[in-house]
Amino acid sequence: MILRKEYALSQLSDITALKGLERSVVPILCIDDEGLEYEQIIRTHGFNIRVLNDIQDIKAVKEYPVVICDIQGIGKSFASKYQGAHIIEEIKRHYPEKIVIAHTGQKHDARYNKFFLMADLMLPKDIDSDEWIDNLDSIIRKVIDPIEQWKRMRDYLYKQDISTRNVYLLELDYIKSILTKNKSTLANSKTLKALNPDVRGVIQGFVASLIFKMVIG
Amino acid sequence: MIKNNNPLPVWSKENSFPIEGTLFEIPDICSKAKNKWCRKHYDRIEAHRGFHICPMGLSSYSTGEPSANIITAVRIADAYDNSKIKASCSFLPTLPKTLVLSSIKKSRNQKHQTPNEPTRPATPQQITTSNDSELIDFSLHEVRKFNRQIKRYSEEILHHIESIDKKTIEAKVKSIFASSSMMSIRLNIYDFEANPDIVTAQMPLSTSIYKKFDKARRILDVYAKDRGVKILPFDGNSYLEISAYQILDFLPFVIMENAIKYSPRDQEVSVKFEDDKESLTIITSSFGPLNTKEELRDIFGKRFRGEGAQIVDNGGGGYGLYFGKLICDMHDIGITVDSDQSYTNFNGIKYSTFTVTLNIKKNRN
Repeated sequence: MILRKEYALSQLSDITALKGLERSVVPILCIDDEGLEYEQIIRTHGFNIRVLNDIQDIKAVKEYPVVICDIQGIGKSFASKYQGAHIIEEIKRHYPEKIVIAHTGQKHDARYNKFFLMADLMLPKDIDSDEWIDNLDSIIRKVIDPIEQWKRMRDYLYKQDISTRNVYLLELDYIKSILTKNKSTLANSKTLKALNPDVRGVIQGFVASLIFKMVIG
Repeated sequence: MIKNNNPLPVWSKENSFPIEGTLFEIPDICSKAKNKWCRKHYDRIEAHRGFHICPMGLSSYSTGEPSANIITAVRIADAYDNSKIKASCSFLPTLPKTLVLSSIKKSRNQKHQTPNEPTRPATPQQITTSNDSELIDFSLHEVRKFNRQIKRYSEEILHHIESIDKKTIEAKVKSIFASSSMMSIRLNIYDFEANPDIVTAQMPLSTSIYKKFDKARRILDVYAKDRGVKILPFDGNSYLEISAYQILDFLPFVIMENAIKYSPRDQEVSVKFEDDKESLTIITSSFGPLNTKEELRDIFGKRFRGEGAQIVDNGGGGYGLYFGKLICDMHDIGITVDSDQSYTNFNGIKYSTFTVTLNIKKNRN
């Protein structure tokens, strides 16, 4: 039995993190050893994008809610034969709320499926500027949607075998945090303190993420 | 010497003379003809699909493909000059155009079969269990075709860069972009077939169906102009967005590309958006080869092509509507096709209005 005020996720549907679609508010990181051909065009359309040839540490993606990741030729420091695919796995392990796009010309290759399935989206190497803009706009809408963000976090919690009751209690804390614009409700949640340190670390990272910054400030 | 399996005579470039068919011999008129005239005639019609009259008044049919045989030295309805052939002593019955076209189709099918192989379409089991090497061949063929177009347009610009005007450059660059986009679509479909599991595992994104059609129209406009077909401005509009996988991009392409591909020259392709409270209906209409009721039943089958479609365009693989239907099912979009059974004969082929209707329910819970 749960003795506390209950909330529904749908109560967040009126909360809009941004009034209009502000492309520049959401930082995007692209990791590709060959760079990104459309970088300049994407930037000209008002997106806040940074392109790196590789990363040495997974913490390099921390400030970016959206990460575009090549599959081959990157991730040398991680010493995995799966290269960029391994980076996708690492991002999802440490930052499940981030939207990860696998940028690849190997969609036909089922050997990479395990990693492809971890990515939220796969964009082939030969998409044009219209497709970049449309896809990035749709992704930004997801990043700034508090319901969408919690659903992603909820999926992660279930995958970590957190009990349904605890996931629900955390959901109530999250909704209350957003509605009352007080991030400490989730950050100091009793349920959170009872979780294992790895999962706790991920939720604390989530509290520091863009969605809280935009809604709460 | 080239072997001719066709019942009708064909032109031999090698010998500068027609080779007899399995049923029809070379008429006496040909032996009186001057080779120079004949060569000129066949060189001229080689790239022009359709029925033609040769300098001696007989009929020829070219598929428009560089490596294909040109049927010739026969009398085909509405494609001969009676004043030139009436003195001939040879057996020259007037053949209907449909007979000639179906004979080409049959001899083409024979080429793809081993001698003991029965003439039978693949069963659905055979299709789904086979490693679809035909799709690989087809995709490679298509990719090479688009790449060839890109090279040609690029070279046309490069070779005339000093004299070419801005408008022509713009048109050619649009053609390059269109060919490249169509190549991407083919590759995406190959990825879909080769690794279907990853398509639905992706995060669906909010997608405007109207915008997808509009993009397909802009890209295919160049292709339509090349084929002398006009895409009319869209009738109606829609702001409906649905949650869709990226593969949905293929759907408007295949519908509109088919409409253009099968239309005779000077015909129009129309797309109508009927948006009401409950659903969005998109109707694409064009003038194409007639499909019988039986053919319409099988039209979403893999590698299935109607008889008329095979005659009009032998470059297709029968994959378009098969993948189109799969994509519709994946997105809960209704798709139906119709071919008006009242038809018009054109170039020996029965044509009628072909319609593809998509229906998207707005309450999609």
